[in-house]
Parts: sequence; structure tokens; C-alpha cells
Amino acid sequence: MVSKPSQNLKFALFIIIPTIAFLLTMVVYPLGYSIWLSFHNIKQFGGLKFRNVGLNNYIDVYGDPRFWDSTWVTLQFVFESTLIAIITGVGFALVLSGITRYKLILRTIVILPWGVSLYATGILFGRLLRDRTGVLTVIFEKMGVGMIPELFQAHLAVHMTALAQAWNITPLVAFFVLTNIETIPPQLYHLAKIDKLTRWQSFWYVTYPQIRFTVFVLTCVVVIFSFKAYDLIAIMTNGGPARATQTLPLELIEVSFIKRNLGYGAAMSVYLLAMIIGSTLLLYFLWGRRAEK
Amino acid sequence: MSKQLKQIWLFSVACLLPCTALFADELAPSSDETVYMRGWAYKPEIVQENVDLYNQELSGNVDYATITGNYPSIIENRLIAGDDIDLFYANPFMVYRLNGGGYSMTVDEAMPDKVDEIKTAMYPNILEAFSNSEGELLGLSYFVSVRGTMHVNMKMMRELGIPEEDWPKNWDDLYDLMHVLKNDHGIETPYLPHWFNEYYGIGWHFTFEVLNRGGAFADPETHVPVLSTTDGPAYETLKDWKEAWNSGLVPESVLTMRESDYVEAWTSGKYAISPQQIYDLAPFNDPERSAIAGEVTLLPYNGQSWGFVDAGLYVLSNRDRSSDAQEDSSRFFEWYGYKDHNGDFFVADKWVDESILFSGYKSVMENPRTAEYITAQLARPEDYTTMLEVYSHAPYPNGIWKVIWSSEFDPVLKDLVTDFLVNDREIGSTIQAINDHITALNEEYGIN
Repeated sequence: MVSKPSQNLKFALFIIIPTIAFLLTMVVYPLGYSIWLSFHNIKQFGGLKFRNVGLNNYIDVYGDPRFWDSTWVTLQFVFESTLIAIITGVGFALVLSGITRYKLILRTIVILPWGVSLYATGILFGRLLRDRTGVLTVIFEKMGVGMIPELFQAHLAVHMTALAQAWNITPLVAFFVLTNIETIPPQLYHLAKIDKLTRWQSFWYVTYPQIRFTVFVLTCVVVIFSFKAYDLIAIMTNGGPARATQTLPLELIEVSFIKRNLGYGAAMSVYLLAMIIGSTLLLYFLWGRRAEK
Repeated sequence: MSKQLKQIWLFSVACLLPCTALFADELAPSSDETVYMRGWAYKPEIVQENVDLYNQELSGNVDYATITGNYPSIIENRLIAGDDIDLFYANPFMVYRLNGGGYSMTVDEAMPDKVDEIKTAMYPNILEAFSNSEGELLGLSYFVSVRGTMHVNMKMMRELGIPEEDWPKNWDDLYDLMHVLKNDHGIETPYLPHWFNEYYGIGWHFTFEVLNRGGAFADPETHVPVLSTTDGPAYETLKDWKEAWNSGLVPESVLTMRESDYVEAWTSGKYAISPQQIYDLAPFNDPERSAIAGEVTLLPYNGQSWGFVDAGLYVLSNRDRSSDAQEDSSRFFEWYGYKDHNGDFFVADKWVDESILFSGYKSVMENPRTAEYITAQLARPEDYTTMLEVYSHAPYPNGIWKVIWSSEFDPVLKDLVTDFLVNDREIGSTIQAINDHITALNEEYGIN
């Protein structure tokens, strides 16, 4: 007779094998292949040729000023979009949790941007903000105010793209935090009232401890989404003006598929992956470990 | 109709029907093999209609889809990967490279019995632009246009009191006038240059402006760079660009635009002048698509052309396929890129109707119907003659486009000239960087 733990193990394996197969096919193989490519110089045109160059691609990427330019742009984009999305997302969650009238309508309105694809978000913000022909300019002109200032200048464009990214992702933050807030026992707020806590104290001592792990997880999610963002920026500014919004994913695509330097691009993608893992680990050690307690 | 006329008509139809049937038989597929057609996303609904017509009338098996994104690199990567692509769109500079790498067939190889007839049907200058150094035709004519044709907002010019005789005759005049419009007439950014953020945006503007000023990038035979770092057309172009940029003659956001944004910006009517595609005169004068419909004309040729030849070809890939698939691909290639089963330039005529796309075939362009159709879509009837004149004088950058590395050059040129503007680089060092890149590409491909 087969024991119950053994049956459970078989059942568990039966369930997870397709998942493991999927992960091996869709994650491990491409990742492994990409790492393998990063050690090669690949010539495609006129016949596929691979030449092992060891760590040369990594060394070249490290010494490439374009890579560091793009890294700086990426870090600005990630930091700003994450900061805006987390603050406004938590803000929306707090406001929505306190509203009882028109609750469903308001929640529907707030979730809408999340339903818009990043591609469409790029088009929307491009049309909204472009100086002479943008929607805001048209509205301002009708109001007699005139043109809006040029928002796609080299020193402003990255902030505009971060704003668009945050607009798209804020509802995700808001709704997860809102769900978390709704699980907080009302008695805690009742006790806070008895203790005459201010609103800020009530948030800091009652609400925040309950939601901080959720906020930490969402911060990691937003950071990862922002590091990977490609379509929004490609549509909104295409990396311009003059590489002012050329984040690493855009640079990767350009190096790998437009300038056709696959090995070099693969090495760059490994650096990007390391940055994503590194920033998530940093967040965990600085904040996550305390938040999960 | 008299009885005699009816008899003649019936007799003619009876004689022609077998001919049509013969053509149909020649161009219908000989097997069930699928022919894969791929192209960039320009009016895909029209292309799908054409393909559907072939599939219905000649029982074809053509599968059509568009490719979005950076077309030259994607199509090249897919051809290298041996993807299912038989017929595809390409610009002449792309085919030059692809054919050099063995990824496409020339028309001489694909249709040896028809190629002489096709070459005779084409304008000699277009045939020359579409041929390789051995004189083989690289593909069949999709469209021929002039990119950089200088479009003028007549409404704005009229309101500002600038008569047509004061409109620019060359690039120097153009920048002078733009300064006048900004400084004396208070137009915020009167000029919308072709500086959008695509590989064929700002870099191609630099290319056609240098050509229009009488310059060249590289020797057409040896491809050795010839741009001077101290004077000459490239130097003058960058000097004017820097002045225009620093004086605020152009909207900075143009450097973040895609082509569709750029075209749409011009139709807003907020700019006085802009280099655009010659065929876009039709939509710009269409009230449903433009705020300045009926008010967009073009600057004529005045001893200096505006823009350069921008063309599209239908090309047959050189992938491994069965003899049946090869035969069917060639048949559809002929139907789509040359004459249909009725002996008409069906697709080329349709593009004239839909988008005033010029063709490389004489019969299409010299058909009175074409002239009538195009004229009806322009702001002024005389613009048709102006168009033809601009078209006949438009140059082609042989030195950098009739060479195997052409599509690798454009993205780098885009980066260099954008960097020059935004980061205030030196003119000489920018031109030197362009020359150095051409030299590096020549070395990489063993040219010279």
C-alpha cells in the first residue's frame, strides 16, 4: 500500500512538472542562450558565424560611455516612476478606502489606466505633451493661455516618460494596497481614536505597519517593470531627443537588432539583469527584511 | 449600338478572352504551395485587397502580413534566419545589401523571359537606381517618391503677406526666410524640418540637404568618404542647422517624433514650411486629414532640387523552397509588381489612385488618367507640372546607398547629427566622425 505522503508527493510532482517544463523552455533556455551569446562575436550577414571572445564583450560594454549614459537615464526613469507610482498609489488607496459613496464608480475610474497598454500610454502622453500640436497646447490656446512649454527638451523628456510610466502602473499599486488596507481590523482605528492619534499618526502607527510588506513587494514589482520598460518609451520619444530617454532596453534593441551586434547586446542584457536583481536585493536588505517582520 | 458595331465588339471580346485566359494561366499558381508576402505597414488594407483579388481570381495561396518596427533590420534578420518570406518590400539601398549577401534574387534570375520587357517598360534613371553594378534589376517597382520635397503652407504665407516670388529658391534662402518669419512676424517655430527620430528621419534630411547643395558623402565607385570638415555642403548644412536650432526656428520635440507624429504635426497648419514626401501632397490637401487642406503646395525646382529619390521595390527572396513554390512565387511577383492577368499595371495604377504613389513604369506615369487623377488631389493644377519637375531632378545618394553597408550607416548618421544639435558638438568633428564611420564600414566589408 502506498503511503499518503508518497501519494501527495506524486500529485505535487504531477502538478509542478508542466510548470517546470514551461520555465525551462521560456526562461532558463533563453537566459542560458543569451549568456552563451554574450561570450561570442556573432556575424550574421552573409552566413552565421560565431567566434568565442571570452569576456571581451563584457569588458567593452563596461568601457562604453553609451552604456553608462543609458544606465544613468534608466536609473532616473526607474527611480522617478517608482517614487511617483508608490506615493500616488498609496495615496489613492487611502482615499478610496475612506470613500463609501460612488465607491464602485471611483474605483473603476482609478483602475482604468492599468487597462491601457504601454504602447497606447506612449501615444497618449506623446499627443498630450507635444508642444505645438499637443492636446494640452490646444486646450491652453482655446483658453487664451498660449502654448505649453517644450516638455520634450533633452533635460525634461526622461521625467515625462517616467510620469507616463507611473500613470500606467499606479492603479496596480493602489488596488493591492487598498485590498490590504481593507483587511486591517477596524478596532485598531477605533483604539487610535481613543488614543487621540492624528491622521498622520494613525497612518504611521496603524495603517503603515499593516501595509508595509505589500508596499515593499509592489515597489520591487514597479522597479522591475520600469527597468524593463521598452514600448512606452519607444512610442513616446523613441529614445530621443539625442538619447535623452535612451534607457537600457532601448539601447539593447538598437545594439542587438539595428546595429546587429548580438554578442555585445547579450552582454549588455546580462548587465541589465544584474541591475534588476541587484536593486531588488538591495531593496530587500534595506527595507524588505524589516517589512516582513 | 449598331448591329455591325455589336459584331465587331463581340468579335474583339472573343479574340481577347483567350489572351486573358492565357495570361491568367501564366500567372495563376501551379501548385498548392503558400507564397509568403511581407511588407512595412503602409496602407495594409489596400495590399490585403490586392492579395485577396489574386487569391480569388487566380486561386492563389498568398499569405500577407506586415512587419512593424525597424523594418530594414527585422527583414534582414528574418531572411538570415531563413524565415518563410518569398516576396517582400525593400528600399533600393536595402536590396543592394540583401542581394550582395545572397538573400534576394534579381529579376533577371527570377524572371529571365520577362526581364528585358520589364526593363524596357521602366524609366532609364529609375532602372539605373534599381539595378546592381552588373546591371541586374534588383526588384520590381512599388513606388518612386521624392522625400524632402519642400511643402509650403500657402495660407500662412498669404496671411503674413509673403508673395510666391519671395519664397525660397535654395536652402540658404529657406533659412533666411525662416529667420524673418520668426523675428519679424512672430511665428514661434516656423520650420518643421525632417528631423524626426527614425533611422530615415534626421539622418536622411542631412543626406538630402547635402545632396541638394551639390555635395556627396562618398565616391560612388570607391565609396571613399569625401565630406570636407572645413567647408562645403555638409559644413554649410550643419552651420545652418546649429543656427536654426539655437534661434528656436524649429520645435525641439521634432527630435522625439516618429514619422506619423511628424506628418500629423505638419497637417496642424502651425508651420510655414516643411520637407515631406512628395506623395503626401494628396493627404495634406484632403479636408478629412488636414487642417490646411487646399493650402499645401510645393517649392519648384530652381536650379536646385529639394529632397532625394526615395523608392520602394518588391523583391523576391532567395530562401530554400521547392521548384513549385519558386514558380508560384515568381508568378505572383509578376502579377503584383508588373502586369496582372489582364495585362494591366493593376497594383501600380491602384497606388496612383489611392496615394498618388509614382511608379517606375512609363505606361503608368504617362497615362493621361494618372495626370488627371493626381491633379485632382493637389491644391493647384499647376502643381502637377512642378511635381514632375522636382521628381525629374531629385538626386540619389549612390555613394552611401549603392553599397553593401548602407543600412548600417543610417542609424549611426542619425545619432551623430542629433548629438551635434543637442549637445552642441563642433561641425568639423561631427563631419570627421561621419567620414570615419564610412571608412570603418569600408574596412569591415573589405571595400578598397
